[in-house]
Amino acid sequence: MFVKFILLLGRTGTTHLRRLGRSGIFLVESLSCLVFPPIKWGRIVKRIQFIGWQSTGLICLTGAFTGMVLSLQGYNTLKRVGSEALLGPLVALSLIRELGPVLAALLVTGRAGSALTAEIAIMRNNEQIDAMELMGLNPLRYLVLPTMVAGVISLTLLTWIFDVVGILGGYLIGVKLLALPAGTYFGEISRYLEMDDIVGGIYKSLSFGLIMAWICCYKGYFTGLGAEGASKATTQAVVTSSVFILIWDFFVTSVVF
Amino acid sequence: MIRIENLQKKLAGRDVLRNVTLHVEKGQFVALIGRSGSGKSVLLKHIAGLMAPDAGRIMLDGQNLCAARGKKLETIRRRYGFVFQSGALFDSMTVYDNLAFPLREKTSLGEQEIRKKITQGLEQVELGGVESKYPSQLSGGMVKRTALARALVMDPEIIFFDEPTTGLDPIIADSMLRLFDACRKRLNLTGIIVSHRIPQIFSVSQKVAMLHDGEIIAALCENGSIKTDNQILRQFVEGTVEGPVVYQ
Ligand SMILES: Nc1ncnc2c1ncn2[C@@H]1O[C@H](COP(=O)(O)OP(=O)(O)O)[C@@H](O)[C@H]1O
Ligand SMILES: [Mg+2]
Repeated sequence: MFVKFILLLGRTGTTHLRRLGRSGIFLVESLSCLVFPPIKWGRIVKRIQFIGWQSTGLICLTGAFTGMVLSLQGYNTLKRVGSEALLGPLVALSLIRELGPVLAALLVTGRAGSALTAEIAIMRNNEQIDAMELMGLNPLRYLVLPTMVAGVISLTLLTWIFDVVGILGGYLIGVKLLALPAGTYFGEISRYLEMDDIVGGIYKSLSFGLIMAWICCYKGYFTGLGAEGASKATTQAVVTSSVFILIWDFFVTSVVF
Repeated sequence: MIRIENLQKKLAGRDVLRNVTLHVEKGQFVALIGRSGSGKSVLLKHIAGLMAPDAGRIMLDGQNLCAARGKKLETIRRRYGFVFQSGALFDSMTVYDNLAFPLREKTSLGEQEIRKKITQGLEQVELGGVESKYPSQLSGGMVKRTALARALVMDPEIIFFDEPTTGLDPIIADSMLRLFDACRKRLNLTGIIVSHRIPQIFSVSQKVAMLHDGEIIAALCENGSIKTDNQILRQFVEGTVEGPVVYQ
């Protein structure tokens, strides 16, 4: 019984270790296509259009409401300690340091990441990836790398949009609804916001973009057979990306900030 | 030309290929048959270098294909034309771009020459006016024709055709076979075709190889019929229930 348990533990361990190794190799091989040209700019632009441009509506909407609710909650809390004036920095710092990168990453994973996995998994199961390989065209260069580059660029830009729209949403509630002076809201933001906060936020969104694109491409690339395999891969991609993003977020926050 | 020797492959815990030996001579066409799930596609993928065998080897003109990597494998693959079972057309591209993709990326031809080549290629497979259509808008037969045109556009010497006639009505299936035979003769191709159009398939191939239980049973074809004493092959070709093998 005990031996069985140890065996099971060992087997699960090696399976996961192997999978981790394989995904690591996948990442390194894909990124090495960056070093050796040609880089397929046209495909990167198309991917940015899909991951980035088509997500802007969603990001604006959710960003606005996140900023608004932050403002509402923050105002009520700050009022109790008599420092409503600090509403601006509260909203801005929460968004820029934490909520912007994380929420944007999770939303983009749900909207674009799942579609990317499904698309690549279907290409795998329809033998399109094999066909590409047979033509002497490396699928990592033509399919995966453009997605990774686009993921990093798109998510960084989307996070900025999320932050800006969120701060404006906070302004709407704080200034227009709760009658805080507009000068106070923006003035205090510029007094308390530091370059480090912005740079840290950018680090986060860059790495989140890579994690999302990496895991979603990997899961699609090594999908199981048939429609069932593809749907499993999609679910796993979204769940694994989201979990990894949150774990990595904690790690970065504790080390970088 | 192609010598497959004692190939073995286990997939998902099952011995799909147990001991496959098959020789294809230059200019020869081999009809590969066998029940669905017997590993025909898996065998073709090994020859294409898309899957690695557990044991055994595949020699192409004296070169061990299973040991080839990188540039060497790419040179070997340049001689291939592969038509996948599903067609494997890129569904984000039009028919024209599907054919143009390998030409643009792998040759130095100008757009003018590419256009000429593609027009010719599509005429060759008797397809017209579909250049700007997407694969999802094509019928089954048109997908297979486009896939054949894409495989031929790079001027291969050896062609693999995985189930070109499956899922098509008998008329179109036979016209596919005839088209295929014409291309083969005109371009002097060597190849393997997976098809269950029996007996029509025997008149376009010189050899029949049946994949049964992970092994190959081979026989020569002459004048549209096969010459064999093997009872298993006979039974499969004649499609009878009684015989040495009990099919469930
Ligand atoms: N990539 C794979 N992973 C695991 N099993 C596979 C894979 N490809 C094919 N198989 C299995 O190998 C067997 C043979 O498949 P295939 O070669 O497609 O048969 P067919 O003769 O109909 O072309 C099937 O049982 C299939 O499930
Ligand atoms: Mg098959």
